[in-house]
Amino acid sequence: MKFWDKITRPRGEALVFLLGVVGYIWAGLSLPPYYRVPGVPGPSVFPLILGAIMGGAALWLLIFPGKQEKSKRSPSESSRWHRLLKAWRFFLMWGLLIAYVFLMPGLGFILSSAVLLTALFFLLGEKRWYLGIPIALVFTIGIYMAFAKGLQIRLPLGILKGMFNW
Amino acid sequence: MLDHLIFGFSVAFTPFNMLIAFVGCLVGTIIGVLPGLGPTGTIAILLPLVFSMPAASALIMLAAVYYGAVYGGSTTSILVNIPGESSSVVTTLDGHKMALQGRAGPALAISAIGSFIAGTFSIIVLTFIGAPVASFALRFGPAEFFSLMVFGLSTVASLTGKSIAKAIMATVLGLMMATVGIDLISGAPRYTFGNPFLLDGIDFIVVAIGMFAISEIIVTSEELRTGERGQVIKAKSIWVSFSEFVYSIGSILRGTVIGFFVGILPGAGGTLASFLSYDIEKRLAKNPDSFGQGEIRGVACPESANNAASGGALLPLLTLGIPGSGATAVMLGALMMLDITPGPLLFQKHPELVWGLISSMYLGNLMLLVLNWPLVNLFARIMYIPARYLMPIVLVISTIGVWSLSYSSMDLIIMGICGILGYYMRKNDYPMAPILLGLILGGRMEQAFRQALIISRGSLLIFLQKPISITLLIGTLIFLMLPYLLEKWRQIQIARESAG
Repeated sequence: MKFWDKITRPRGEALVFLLGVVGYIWAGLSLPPYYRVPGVPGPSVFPLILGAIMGGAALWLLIFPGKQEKSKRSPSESSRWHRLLKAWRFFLMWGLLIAYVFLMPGLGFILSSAVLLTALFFLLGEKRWYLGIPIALVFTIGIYMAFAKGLQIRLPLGILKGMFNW
Repeated sequence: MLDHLIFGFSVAFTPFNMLIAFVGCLVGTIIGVLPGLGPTGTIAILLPLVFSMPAASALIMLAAVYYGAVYGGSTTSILVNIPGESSSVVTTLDGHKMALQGRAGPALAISAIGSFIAGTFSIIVLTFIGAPVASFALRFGPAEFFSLMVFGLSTVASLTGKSIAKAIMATVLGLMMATVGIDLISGAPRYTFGNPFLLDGIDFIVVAIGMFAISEIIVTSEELRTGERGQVIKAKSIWVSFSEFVYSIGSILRGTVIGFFVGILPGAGGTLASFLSYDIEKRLAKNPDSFGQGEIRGVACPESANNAASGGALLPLLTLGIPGSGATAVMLGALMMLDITPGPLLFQKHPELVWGLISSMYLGNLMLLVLNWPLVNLFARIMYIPARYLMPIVLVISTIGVWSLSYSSMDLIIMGICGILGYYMRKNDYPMAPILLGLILGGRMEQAFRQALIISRGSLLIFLQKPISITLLIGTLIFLMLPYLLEKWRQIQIARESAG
């Protein structure tokens, strides 16, 4: 059996966790010494214990990845990944969600939420634009009024700030 | 005791507190009916609402939402085979079969009756043993608290997910997240990488909404594409016959007792209670094969158990400051944000809070029965809102919950990262509940650990020298070994059966 065939998904995850643990422990140990007081457990003690437990669990997963996962990646699994790559909706949806959390403060709640809702409605199966777009707009403005005006939560207006003096 | 209760009723029965208890029950039930949004997410979303309220009113509302969501969670399990929250998963086994057989009405009705009986029982027990447990809790020092939190985390780690290694990794990941920010004992900034936004640490709401709401919308889209979303079945009748009630009453009572005491265990919660009670009920039954085929007791028992557990889970939260479930973990965070630290002194320092809450729960349970029974068909109509509209709107509202915490882009970015992490974990059998509990308990756990070491001058033996502490640590070992022992026992049983 080739080396790469042994790297199943759980083993790959275990390796990622082990690398993360090394970084976590290193960052914990690199705290300046003046935070340590004699006779008092310092700020690195608890992270070191957590790192050790996480490392132990990750090693366990590396050595015993589970019965089903020991086998070589099956053709059906590779075709599943192939299908996933073809599923452009999946990646577009992730792209939209990530763009939303990054851009909402700058673009403003109303604009970004209206775009996100419209896009998600269509990605989730709505085909009628004359329904999807109005529903997205009504809900965005309704949610904005309820939270910003009703509950006094400061929702950013972003680039619409100059256009509306609400 | 009665003086306290009367005082509590005087707090709970003010018009404002009665109104918010009603609104909490209503909102909790409505959101409990929504698939994927359980009590934890509901409370997290509604947190901004309660910060402007007096502490007692805030707690009454959060508790009303909590047991309302637990109460309403059974509806989707029964009608469309989609559990509203994790503690209703087991209800799908018989509840949905009953609905397919045209008995959705009796299933919903027995669920409402069982929930009412269990909820009322748990409040009565909470009334009478809450204060004694609180005085017992005063014996808990840092070593005992540390061991208790280790025990609570181990119960979750050992009973959630398929792999104990993955469950431990998820738990420790939550604890690691809790170490981000300023160390409360030394003042050292840890894992902030020079970013001032991380000095306050990672907020549990950001992680909870990221992991649950964002991953939910992706999973929803996949289910819509593959056609895995269930079809709504209209309930023909909402009445249960007297003979069916008599047939189920034993199951309701057993589920109630099991649920309450499992709910008390820190970290165990309603999910474990419902699974355990269903398992025990099936073993006690004369005809166990009928379970899973539309057996009414298969609905009555777990539904009673998860509602009794929701009352039981409030006991460790109020008396020890230890959340018994994900939802009470969020409530703990809310209380701490209101400058109230739950624990043994809560009964003395804030009697209006504790007794007001307990008294309001009597009223809340009655409100829930009134709401659930006749209006169950109406609530189920929420399911007619197409998921393609419902889930994106829920996501936008969830995002407001995160944004309102500190109006920081960093919170949104962490939410996005947690969303990716949550989706990966859901797809690869990593349990998500331990991360949330680890994050909530991490800070207090580290503090207790280091305080114990300061008392013992650095000796770890302190955790083994205290009787309560050593008992809890032995319990932890047993809980971690339990899945392996149960699996071995199951294999032996199968081998015996095949040999026979």
